[in-house]
Amino acid sequence: QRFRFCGDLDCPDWVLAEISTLAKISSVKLKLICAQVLRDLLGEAMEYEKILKLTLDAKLELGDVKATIAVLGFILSSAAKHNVDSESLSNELQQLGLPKEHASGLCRSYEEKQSSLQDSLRACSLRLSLLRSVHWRVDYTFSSSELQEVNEPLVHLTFNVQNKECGRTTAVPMTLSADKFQVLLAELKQAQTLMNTLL
Amino acid sequence: CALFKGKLNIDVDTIQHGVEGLMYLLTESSKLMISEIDFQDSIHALGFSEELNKSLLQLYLDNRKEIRSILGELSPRLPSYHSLEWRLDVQLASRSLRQQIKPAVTMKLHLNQNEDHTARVLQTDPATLLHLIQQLEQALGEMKTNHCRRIVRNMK
Repeated sequence: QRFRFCGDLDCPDWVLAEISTLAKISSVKLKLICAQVLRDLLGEAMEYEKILKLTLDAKLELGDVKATIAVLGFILSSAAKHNVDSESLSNELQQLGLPKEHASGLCRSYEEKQSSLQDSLRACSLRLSLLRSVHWRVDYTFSSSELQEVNEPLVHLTFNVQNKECGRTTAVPMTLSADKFQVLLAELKQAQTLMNTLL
Repeated sequence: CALFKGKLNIDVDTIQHGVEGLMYLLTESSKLMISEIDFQDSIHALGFSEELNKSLLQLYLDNRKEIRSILGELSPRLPSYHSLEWRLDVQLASRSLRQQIKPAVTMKLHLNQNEDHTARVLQTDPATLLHLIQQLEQALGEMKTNHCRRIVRNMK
């Protein structure tokens, strides 16, 4: 059977197996554990000790606690990835055997954080390089060894590009004469107009 | 080593040799997966007491599996698949040509080689990607041929 939150594919076996573990925890505590898992997915620190305390009543072993965190992480990030709305997610989780209160608690936590989760996923999508900053300086050349009266403006540009593979930022410096700079500016403005038509 | 030296009053070198000898005995036995009887016969030649022989045998039997799994991981490895990141882009315009539609798939293949993490960036158009998928599915399909099935059956 196909599920939207799995990208219109079958639900992975391990997720199916852990649904019964989730049902062992009370729905209130499950919602709190969801909040912690969401913190981890959004890049904040997850408070593992709190999760351990919450699962104490359900008498879960350490392996089960880790499995719970993993399956919640999968459900929440996969639902955000495929842009599944909270109600459809609740229905699909109930089809998998999760009790109604558990599913609605989980989906309420999901709904609150859905857009931040999608923003965070968008930010960590594959990206090869990133322009960090641009620095510029305009000079005026009075004279040189070749010509006594030069009297020309000169633009210094430095692009700071971060390589996403190693995280290092390299500086790409260049100097341009006034004409060259005009050409560069015109081309970039054309590209910007094209980008604006898409937004 | 220093702790044992103090308690047993033997010098450090002797203890070190003793530990190394024990390590060698256990790794060689686990490597060859020798039976209990063969192990007992082998250490009998060393002339230790019956009690010591029994404890050595027990030590061998208890730790044999774990030692084998560690030894299994020591073999040289080729880079292996870790994960794949991908993105689908469409080029709409360039400096030389406007009104284009050029889809491209960019992939970052993460590889693992003995704790070394490397990544390779690849880019392809959809037609080549489909060809790639087809080739990989053909490779998987090879496992189902009679030839492969016969070999797998004999290996088990």
